[in-house]
This record gives sequence, C-alpha cells and structure tokens, in this order.
Amino acid sequence: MLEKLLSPLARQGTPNHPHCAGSRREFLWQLGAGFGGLALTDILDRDGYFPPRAEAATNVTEHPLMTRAPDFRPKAKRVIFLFMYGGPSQMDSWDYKPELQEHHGKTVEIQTRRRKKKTQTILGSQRHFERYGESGLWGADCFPHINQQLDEICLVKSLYADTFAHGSAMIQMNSGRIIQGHPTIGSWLGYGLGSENENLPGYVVMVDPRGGPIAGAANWSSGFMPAAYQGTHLRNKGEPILDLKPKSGITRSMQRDLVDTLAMLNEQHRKTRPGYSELPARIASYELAFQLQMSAPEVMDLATETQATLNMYGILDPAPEETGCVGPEPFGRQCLIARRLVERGVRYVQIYSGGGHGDQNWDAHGDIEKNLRIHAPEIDKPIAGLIKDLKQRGLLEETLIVWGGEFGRQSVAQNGGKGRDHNPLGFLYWMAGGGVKGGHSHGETDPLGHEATVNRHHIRDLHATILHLMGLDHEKLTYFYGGLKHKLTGVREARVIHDLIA
Amino acid sequence: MSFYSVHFSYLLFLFSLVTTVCGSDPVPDDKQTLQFFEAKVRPLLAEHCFQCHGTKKQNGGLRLDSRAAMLAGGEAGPAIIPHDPAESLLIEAIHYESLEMPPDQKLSSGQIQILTEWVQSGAPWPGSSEVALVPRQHGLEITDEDRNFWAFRPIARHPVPNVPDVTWDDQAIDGFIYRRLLSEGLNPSPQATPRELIRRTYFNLLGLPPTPDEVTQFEEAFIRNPLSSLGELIETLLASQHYGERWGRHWLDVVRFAQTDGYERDGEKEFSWRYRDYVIQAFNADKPYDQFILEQLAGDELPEVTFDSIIATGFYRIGVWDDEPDVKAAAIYDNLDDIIRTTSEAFLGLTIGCARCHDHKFDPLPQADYYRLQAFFKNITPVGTDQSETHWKTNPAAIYTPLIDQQVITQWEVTQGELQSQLAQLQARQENADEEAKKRLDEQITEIETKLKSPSYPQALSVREKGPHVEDTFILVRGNHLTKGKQVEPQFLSVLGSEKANIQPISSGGDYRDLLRNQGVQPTSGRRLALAQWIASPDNPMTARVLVNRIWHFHFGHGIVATPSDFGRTGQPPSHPELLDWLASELIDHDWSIKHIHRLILQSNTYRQSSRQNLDDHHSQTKDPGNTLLWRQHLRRLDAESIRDAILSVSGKLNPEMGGRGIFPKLSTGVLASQSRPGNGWLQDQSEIQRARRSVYIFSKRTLGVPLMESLDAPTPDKPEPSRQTTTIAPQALILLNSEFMDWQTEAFAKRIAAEAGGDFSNRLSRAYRLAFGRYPTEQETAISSEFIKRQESQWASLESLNKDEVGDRAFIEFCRILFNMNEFIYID
Repeated sequence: MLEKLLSPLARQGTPNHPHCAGSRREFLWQLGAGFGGLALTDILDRDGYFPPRAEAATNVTEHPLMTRAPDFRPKAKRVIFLFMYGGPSQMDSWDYKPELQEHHGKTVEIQTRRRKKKTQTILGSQRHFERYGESGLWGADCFPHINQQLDEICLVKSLYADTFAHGSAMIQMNSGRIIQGHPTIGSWLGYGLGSENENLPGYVVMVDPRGGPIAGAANWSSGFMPAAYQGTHLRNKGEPILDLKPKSGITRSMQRDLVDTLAMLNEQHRKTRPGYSELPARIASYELAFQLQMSAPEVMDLATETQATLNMYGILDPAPEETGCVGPEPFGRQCLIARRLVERGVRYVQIYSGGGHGDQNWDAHGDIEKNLRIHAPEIDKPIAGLIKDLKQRGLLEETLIVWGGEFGRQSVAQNGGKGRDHNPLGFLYWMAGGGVKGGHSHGETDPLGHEATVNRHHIRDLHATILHLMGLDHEKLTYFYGGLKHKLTGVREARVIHDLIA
Repeated sequence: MSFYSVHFSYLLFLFSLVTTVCGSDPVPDDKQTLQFFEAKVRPLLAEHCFQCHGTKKQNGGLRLDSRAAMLAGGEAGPAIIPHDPAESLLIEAIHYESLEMPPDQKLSSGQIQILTEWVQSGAPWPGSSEVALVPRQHGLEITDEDRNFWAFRPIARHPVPNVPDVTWDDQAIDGFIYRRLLSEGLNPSPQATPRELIRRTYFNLLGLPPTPDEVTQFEEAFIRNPLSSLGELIETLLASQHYGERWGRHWLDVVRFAQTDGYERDGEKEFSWRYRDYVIQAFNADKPYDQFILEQLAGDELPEVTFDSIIATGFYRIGVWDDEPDVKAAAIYDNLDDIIRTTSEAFLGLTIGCARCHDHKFDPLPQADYYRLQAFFKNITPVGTDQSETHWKTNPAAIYTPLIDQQVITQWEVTQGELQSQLAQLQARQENADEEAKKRLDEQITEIETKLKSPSYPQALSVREKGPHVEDTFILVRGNHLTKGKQVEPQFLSVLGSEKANIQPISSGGDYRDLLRNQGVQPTSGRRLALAQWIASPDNPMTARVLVNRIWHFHFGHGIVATPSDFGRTGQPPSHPELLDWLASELIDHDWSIKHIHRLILQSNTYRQSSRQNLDDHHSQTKDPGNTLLWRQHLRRLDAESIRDAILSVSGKLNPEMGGRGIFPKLSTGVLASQSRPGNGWLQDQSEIQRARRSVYIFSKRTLGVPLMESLDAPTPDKPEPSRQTTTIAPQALILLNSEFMDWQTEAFAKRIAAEAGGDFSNRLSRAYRLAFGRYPTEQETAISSEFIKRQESQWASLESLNKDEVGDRAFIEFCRILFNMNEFIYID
C-alpha cells in the first residue's frame, strides 16, 4: 500500500536529482491526516476510497503523521520532557560541589556573561547533600522525593549551550538553533516516526498555570515544516484542546447528525471529482475531530485514577506557605496527564514548570533559596510519582523522561546578592527510563560547578541522544528546506552520548 | 566555550615566538623537525584525533593520519595550510573557536602549542611526498558547464509553436503546453464551465468568491461571447483593490513579512504595516517589477526618492530580530544573513545562504560570492545600538525615516519653537517654586520634553546607512565572525559574469532626499542601488524567470519550476523551459508588467481547462499522475486567508477597509495563556467591524499566531516561504466547526439569508447555496438539507424553551455551519 502510494511521486524527483528527491520519509510526510495518519489511511482503504491509480496524483500533504519505521530498534517509544523554564541551578540540585560550599563568600575571577571575566563572590549552596540509593548519587535536600528515585536517573552534568539569554536559549533547547524558525524536537519526532494514536495529537505541550514560557508558542513551533508537526497546547482550564466542543448549545447527538450530514453532502461533491484523495481525507478528518471530542477530555479526566495514584503525584497535597508557590497539585496533575497521554501512544509530551517572569519560574536572580522554596516542592513529588507510576505500569522502560531547563546557573552571587545569574557554560540534565542507565552520572563541571570540564557535551549531543534512543539517526533525519538538508542537530557534528545508554 | 580575547593575544604571542624560532624557511625535512614530529606531534595526533579521523572513522569526511589527508581535508576544507596556523582549520578547532576538537576535552595549552608550531614549520611528516600534496584550490572554480546550466543561460525568446488544434490556437502559452502534451501523447481536458471559471478566476485574483449575481451575469455573457466576457471579467478583477490584497499577500510570504521581532520580547516593529500597504498598492497599481525591486532594495538611493520608495526599504527590517543576542558581533552577521537569503531567494531564486560557511555544495556559488553580496549590505545600520549591557534597544535614528515635506517641517519647527518657549517658562518658574509646585512643574516639563523628542509627523520603517564610507568586508572562515579571511569587494555573482559593481556614493535624490539630508539623514554608499540595478536588469537571467514562475505557481498551484525560490541544482528543472523564457521576455518587453502576465495566463486554454479527472484516460493518469504537464487544471484548496475571507464575504460581514496597523482577531484566554505575559502585544477590544476585515490585515505577530490561520497552513513568517503547504488535520475541523469566529459567522450568514430570501424554505436554501457556491442545490442536496434542518428543529424544540421561530433559526444556523465546512466551499475546481 505504502509503496504503491510512493512510487509515482518518487519517480518525478529521483533520477536526476538524488539529493533533492529527498528521503523516503520526505515523501511519506506528503501522504499521511492530522492526528493519526495511519488510522486514516486504513479507514480510507477499507472504504475503498483510494481509486486504483490516482492516490498520488496531487502534491498535497495529506498524511503527515502516518506511522513510520525508525532507523533502528528504538529503546524508547515516547518522550516526556519536563522543562524547568528559567534555568534551574545545578549546584543546588544534583551537582554536589563541596568545594563551592567550602569557599562560600570568597572572591573568584570568573566568566559571568560571555567573555566577561569579573571578580565575584562565591555563593555556596545552602542545601544539604546526601548520597541516595544503591548508586549513591548525591542529591540536595530540596528534592526529597526525586532523590529516592536516583537509582532510576541518569545525570548528565557537563552540558553547555551557546547563549546567556532566555529567548534564544529556549529556542535552542527546543530546536537546536538560536535562530527562531526551526522545527522543535517534538516536530522532528512526528516527522520521523509519525503518530501512534489516531484520536490524539502526537506532540502535546502543557504550560504552567502562571503563564507560558517567553517566546510562547515559538517553543513548540514546527518552523519550516508543515503545521501538522507543531505542538498542540493542552490546556489546564476550560477546553483542553482549542475549540474542542461546540459552544452553540447543540448536543453530541445533534453534532453527530451534523457531521454525518456534512459527510453525505461532501460525498455528493466527491463523486463528481474522482481522483482527488484530499477530498476523502478531509471528510475523514471530521470524523477524527468528532472522536477527539471524546478522547481528549477522557485523557484529562482523572476521575478513574485511584486515591493512591493521585497521592503519589502530590495532587492532593496542599501548597506550602511560600509566596508565589502553587504547590505540587498543578504540575502533579500535568505529570499524571502525561502518563495517560503516553499510555495512549502520544509521542512527545512537554510540560513547562514555571511561567511568566522572575520568580514565577526558575530564574533565580534575586534569591536562590527563595526560588527553590517556591519551585522545588512544586515538582518534587509529582516527578517522583511519575517515575514510580510509569515503572509500576511497565511503561518506564519505553518512556524517556528528560529533565532540565534552557541553561544552568552560576556558582557566584549575582551583584553580591543571594541569587544566581544565567549560565550556559555548564549545567545538568537528567533522564530516566527509555533505555538510559539508572543511577549513573556522566561528565563533570569544575570544582565550583561553573563550567563543564570533563566529558563536555554541547546540547546538540543531548538532542542526538534523544533521537538515538527513539531509534532515529540524527545524521539521517533530515528535512529539505531552502536548498539545505536540515537536521535537529545542525551542521556541527553531534555525537550520541553512548555512556548514558543502558 | 571560547575565551576568544585570551586566545587571540596568546596566539599572537605564539606566532611571533614561532617565527623567530623557525624563521621563514619553508623546507620542513631537516632531522630536527622530523624528530619533533615523532616525539611530540604523532603521539598527540594518535591519542586525540585518529579515533574519529583515521582508518576506521572519517567524521566530517576528514582523516588526520597523513599529511596528504590533512591537506585534502574534509567537508569543511583543508585541515591545515602549511606555514599558516592562523588559516588552518585544525588549529582553529583545537582552540575551540569554531569547531571544538577534540570534543571531549580541550587540549592543554602546551599541546596546542606543539601542533601550532608543527603547522608553522610546514607540517613535516616523514615519508610524505610533496608532489601529491598540492592543497585543493581555495575557492570554487566556475566552469563553462556551470555557466551553461539552464537557469544561468541568457533568456531566449523562442518562437511560439503552432498548434494543430484550432480550439487551442489563440493563445501563445497554449502552443508551448499543447506541443508538449502532444509529444507525450497526453490529452488536454475540456474547458471548465463558466461557473467554475468565474469562481476560479475570482479566488485566484482576489481571494474572494463572486456574488450570485456576478455568477449569473457572467454565465449569460459567456454563452454570448466566451472570450470577450472572460477578457472583461479579468479586467474588472485586475482593477479591484482586492487584487493587490490577494497578490500582495503572496509577496509578503516570499519576503518573510511580520510586524514583530520574535524572541522573548517580540516587540512590535512600528510602522511595518506601511510596507504591507506599499506592497498591496504596488500590485494594484501594476508597478513595473523592476521598479518594485529598485524601491525595496535601494529606495533611499534612487535618483528620485519618494515616500513610497523609503517605505519599500522596510524590506530589510521585517525579518526576525533578536534584541538580546548573546554575541552582538555574531548577531550582526545573522541579521545580514537574513537579508542575503531573503534577497537571493526572493529575487534571484538562488539559495546562496548555503554558501555562508563553505562553497555551495551543489551550485556554482563560491563562499566568496556570499561575502561579495554581503558587502552590498554592509553599510546598513544595525537595527539597534548598544544602549544597555545585554539588550539591543531600537534606535529610532537608525531605522525610522520621517515622511515629510517642507510644509510639515515648517509646521514642526513652529511647534518646536512653541514647545521650547513653554519649556523655558516652566523652567524659569521652577526656580522659585516650593516643593509641591516643583513636582507639578516637573511633570509638565517631562511632558513637553517627550513631545519634543517624538515629532508628530508620520514615519516609515526603513533602511539607513552610516554615511558613504563602508567598513571592509571579509570572507568569514566557516562563517565564524571571529575568523576573518580574505577581504572582498561588492561584486555580482561569479557564475553570472562577476562584473565589478559600478558604485557611486549618493547624497542627493530629489527634493525629498534633500529635505532628509537637512534632517540629518546621512548620504549612502550607493552599493545597494548598484545591486538593485543589476538584479532589475533585463540582462539578468534569473530575475524575470523567477518572477513569471512565481506568477505561474500561484495560478496553477505549482510552478514551471516546482521550487520557486530555488532555481539551482537542488531545485527542480523547468517542465517547460521555452515557455518560461517566453513569459520572461514578455514581462521584460511589457515594461515588467505583472498584470500583463496575468492576462496571458488567464485567457489561455491551459488555464481554462477543467480540473475534473477522467479516470478512464489511463494513459494520462499513469504517464503524468502529478499533472506536471498540465493536461488538466488542479482542484485546489484555498489558503488560510482566502478561507477566512470567503466566510466573511459570504456571511455579508466583510469590511473592505484597507491599510493601517492591522486587525487583532479575538483570541481565547486559553490561546493567550501560551504567552509569558498573557495578552501582551495583542489588542483585546477591537470592534467587530474591524475584526471583519480581510486576513492580509491580521497583525502578524511572530510568537502568537491566530489558530484558524495557523491550522490552515499560514506559514510562520520567520523565513521566506515561496509556497504554502496544504495539510489536512483534525484541528482544522474543530476550529471550522466550533470556534467563536465560526459561531459569529454562521449566525451572520443565517441572518443574511433570512433577510434576503424571506421565510420560504426553498428560497432560503437556494440563496444559501448560491451565496456559498454560486449555484442552486440539486434535488438530492435539497432533500438531505431539509431533512437535517427538520431533525435539528425537533431536537432544539425538545432542548430548550424556544419558540417556533427561534427553533427554526437555530437549526438554520447549524445548516449554515455545514455549508462553510463543505469541501466545495474550500476546494475550488
């Protein structure tokens, strides 16, 4: 079926222009509808919609999310990316630096912003660190629940990125480039692997109740790829998906009638225009939309979850008495929804912790302790709950959890105060499940935790590793645009960090 | 991370050191140096490099295990230039300047010194022969074969082929198309019906549907005289203001138009809307395309500078702009890159952006050409100036040009005088005032000072230069702003003749320009004018071809060249090269008139063919399933703007008001919640009448798209977009069924029908079908529709306490919703 669809298009481009004819994948995306291309094709095929020859008679892009085979056997099938917007501190979480604490208050000449060396006062972490689990990885006491899961977690302490500014750093963490306009990780996965669920989007984003991250939807844009690959914003309040339900007051059965009548009238139109597969594809998209009205709220509805599960995610816990802290409930709810999404085959879920500006997110310029008091309890129990829950359901093995921000923070006090400024020179990410080693640590920063020194990795290596775990070769996953085969990892050489992989 | 300043001084020190040690002796084979190699260099290379650049792996296509291999280099060029560590990529890479090698950990400074010294001394390697070691020529050699590539050959006007079919012989275009169909044994399709034709032409030229009356009149006229009625229709539509709104939109895609900067603050580019309005007016006025080019690229350097030509230079300012770049020196080159890419793709159909870091991999575009092109733009004042440590604040003097005449100036001078005397009075009063009065006076003074700073005359977002003197331009090795290579001069593309540009600094340009000069606007280098003249020349083989192909693309859904912004080898070759050239000559011979090309195409038999497929014509279906050779027309989905505009038009709500800052469709709080400051930069309370304007006027904000438009494949405006995608996804259906906009529009549509067709059901149904599709419903459609409405009525009646009329209205609204969602509404035959 697939090959049959492919051949006429492939014939047009291939012989004289091997490089621009594109990969098999580039043609596939031209053929796959919306949520669940595979299912749609099946429906159409079953109903005899595809006439014998004319499937590929047009150049429209109907089935962008058709399920596609990876390059090799994947370790992970889905990703949950927990994005700590604002830039969480490495030396106050899992990059334990006794020397930093020892030298607290002393001055040091250090690179603060790019190429600017300044004499600054060392700000030791006020957190207490201990070893946890069989692996004995160090953890700070502000994350008591996650620390209990350190045997599942693989730390990468030696990442670096290219920019000190939130805007471009966010864009780079999500798209690999500091220049706006490139597809984001979830888009690449959708393009590379398609979607597994016909009734849900393959790339879902949830933002903090306090607001979105800076640059907003640019963080889940599909850039120069078709819009079908952009992230779908799943909302906490009101309708989970934009315009999911009618507001005119009609009932579900009345809308059923409407969709059926629409299909009947469209069928009159289609019959006189044979050979155009986009017409039946669009007819089918209304049926999918109708199904989505049930499946999306079902994912969001936590009524079927047990008390124990809700408790595990911290959803029932009150917010601590700290101004600005919203407690574990919102993020816990989103983590639980993330589990429900990946259970249903959603490929890529991204949750933002922190929104808006200042201490509404992890951007701890003023007082690192206060910022941690606000945000650590918001994510600690929910994330630990997510790991435990996925594990007990046997989902952790094939679900990759990624935790981190757009950069880390500095080992010195900003302007002599209690806060830390941005730091792309060295910062940590951690991953769990999805084929990574548990209880493992890779790479080191310098003794102050400021700059990556041992096994340094640009974040493009992290991107290459995520793709690799998902069964995709970052060198082969290319998209032709503007005369160039683009890659998530860009033109510089990226390396899969094999030491992380179990 | 690189500490460049440290490295650089270190390198300088090292070079002087090495030079004194080794002198200038190029012969690298004395015993001592070879010993040095064996003892120091080889172990170092073996330990840190061979693993990825040796016999087993050749990352980046590079081996470092022989001198020959180093000289041959990899994808990025030679790894070393003997005796020249500063130009050697290997040395650059171990300094972590562009590449960062070895990637795991930087070599120690001692190790770096060893390799630097070794390259400086000529990179001696025992047993290697100098004969095979000639480094690959720097720069790409352009051959006759390159120059002979179809796109680079001069435009040749081929004779129009004769067509044996008498029904196909009246239009030149048809000769080219028909001959090819004939030779491939393909059968052209019959003509579309008059109704199909008028709807196709309306949507194609205006992006709006014809009214029912217009359809009827045209159908009648067409029966009497097909050609003259079609000719009249085309003239009417080309004269409509809506034509520019439709075709201007196409151009705005090509030049990545948006009204904000992008990134964290996504600030508004003030007055950017004037550029959008300029484009619309240019299309409406059929501004000669060469003039259109000159104005956008060099509107401030023309012999006669006008408001329009200044506004046109907004072309340079409408791209993505990071106001908080991490490295400003690098960001300047990113901004120039955006301009180079947009200019070369939009006007020349070449992807020269690929040559920023290395020679173009496929096209004869050496890296030097990229920087020669950059030299033309080098004098543009960057969008901002350093006013704070991290942010680039917008500097009005750098980007805004006042739109003024002598009268406005005089008026402003009078106002200024008045304000200044007021200021003086207030300041005098302040001297003897008490605390409280002082505070009040302070406020008044600030107010006047603000007024003085912001002149009351209109302004344009535009290009400004820093004066006639231009900074030197250098090739940047691997595109890195820190590694300057050879100096280059502004020069046109090598493959197209490579003449040196004739550049004259420009200080005058008519009365307006003189006025601007008096207001402090600097003279310019004249570089961009030289470039614009070269592009807008009949002798440039790319320009006219690229434009007529774009026009063709928007008439047929795909171009004669299927990749409208890439005429290079990575693009597609033309399906009808002679036709492309013929159209290009027509454009040039008719004063670069775009409307002339429209007329040629719209009146052709080729364009007028039916889009219906005859599945029994197995030969055509298998021979050319993609219809590249145009044996029929394409059934096409409307683009996002046309869908929204058609809905507004059919509901009767469309407000034809043109121009201005733009409109802000209502966005739900859920959509705004994606912003870090929800609602920021989006007007929440625009009137319904404003919100009913055409889509081309929707405020284009880079980090906040309108979901209806985005879901229907309106492109993100960050990069030039030569053609729209057409995807079919479920969220489109949700938005077109359930959004507030659709509720508003379906209700308006239902009301309109009731007002125009009265209470009779079949009248209403007919009116609805005629408004939506330009035709009457069939019997079957009437049956399906009326049964649906009956069922809905009974449901509504059981649902709420509505009276009979209300029940009928509600049911009819839902029926209108169906019409807007039908395939026939958004797919045009």
